[in-house]
Amino acid sequence: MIAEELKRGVVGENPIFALALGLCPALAITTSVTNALGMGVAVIFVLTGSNIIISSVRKWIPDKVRIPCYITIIATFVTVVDLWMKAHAPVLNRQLGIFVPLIVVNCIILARAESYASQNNVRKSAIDGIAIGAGFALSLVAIAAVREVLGNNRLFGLTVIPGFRPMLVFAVAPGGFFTVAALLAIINYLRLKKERSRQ
Amino acid sequence: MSEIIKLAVALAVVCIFSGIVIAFSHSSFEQQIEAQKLREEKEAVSQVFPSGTRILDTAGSAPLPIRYWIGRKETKTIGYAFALENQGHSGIIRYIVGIDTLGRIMGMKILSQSETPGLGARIEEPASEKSLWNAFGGGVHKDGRTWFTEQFNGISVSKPLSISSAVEWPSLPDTIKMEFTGSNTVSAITGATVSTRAIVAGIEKTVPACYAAIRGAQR
Repeated sequence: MIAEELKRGVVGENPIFALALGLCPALAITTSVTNALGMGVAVIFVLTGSNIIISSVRKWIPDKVRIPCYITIIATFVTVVDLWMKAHAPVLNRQLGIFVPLIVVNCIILARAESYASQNNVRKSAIDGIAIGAGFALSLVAIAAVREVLGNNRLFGLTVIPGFRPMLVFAVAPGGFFTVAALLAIINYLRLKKERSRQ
Repeated sequence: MSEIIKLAVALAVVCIFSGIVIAFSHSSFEQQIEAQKLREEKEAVSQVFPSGTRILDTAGSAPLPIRYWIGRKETKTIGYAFALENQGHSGIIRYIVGIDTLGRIMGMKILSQSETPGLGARIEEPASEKSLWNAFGGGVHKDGRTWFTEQFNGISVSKPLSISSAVEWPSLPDTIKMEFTGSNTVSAITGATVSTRAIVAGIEKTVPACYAAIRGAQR
């Protein structure tokens, strides 16, 4: 069951390449693989936490005001995590500190609260958080790997080909769009091909 | 009508509860966050001075409006460290700059920043001359050095600083690096000129005046 859920999060409902959600952090963060991993881990953690909370209060929140309630709850959760990291986990804060506040405005968190956690039990919602978070993290790493090598001639901050002058456009925002578009095209091509061969 | 009240009450309960949770965690973490900040600040200050320096914390005493530290070896003053801050691209950048008695930068350390990851946040990028292929062979050690702050070493604060945005520091040959330092020039981070300017402007705005004030007071 968990393996299936993971597959759904990474392939079927991949936040970036299937749902096209959370593209703003995906463009901003993916200039290096290290950053992508940091953001990925932070998203997995926050998404799982917010899914658990939303799912456990889902029966008490009236349908008509659910969106403002979810936003308030998620923002509170993220703020508390941010404060806790600053106080008790300085090493973690140094690595993830800049990403955590960005997550409040990440639409995947709200999307999962709205479309999954508000309709499923706590256990299922937690697994959904991990699965979708993992899908998001892997997509970020894939985009970042392309952009870091082409844009900075680096991988994990280390030079790939000494003396090679990188294509800077991939390190800045337009290159992010190019990379996402190219990867999206490849993935959709493979998906369509698979579907056609099934018919 | 009664439904509106019901909705309003539900929303109010959620907001009040959130408010209480945030207020409670803020007050219970506040002291530790402050202590953590001081610890980081102390470590950063010790890193901008040469090793073995005795550091005197002036703890906000006159004549300066900012926090500064005095570095001594035996009884001789070898330099000062200033706590600076300036508005960057997406938040305040806080950093420590160490100045020797000739007015040259000895070291710089970023305390906190919230610049764009991958662009402005590269002011804290590790200085790595190693390539990926070396790393497979020998592993990479991280010593906390960052190239952006290191290029300020030797820059004089009594002359104006200039920024070159052609090539980043690590890609420059050594002779050009020396020329840069000689002509008080630092290289900008590609795609993050605002962050680079913020750090340079923060130094130019505060350090020369403070440095002159301390030197004046001691004479």
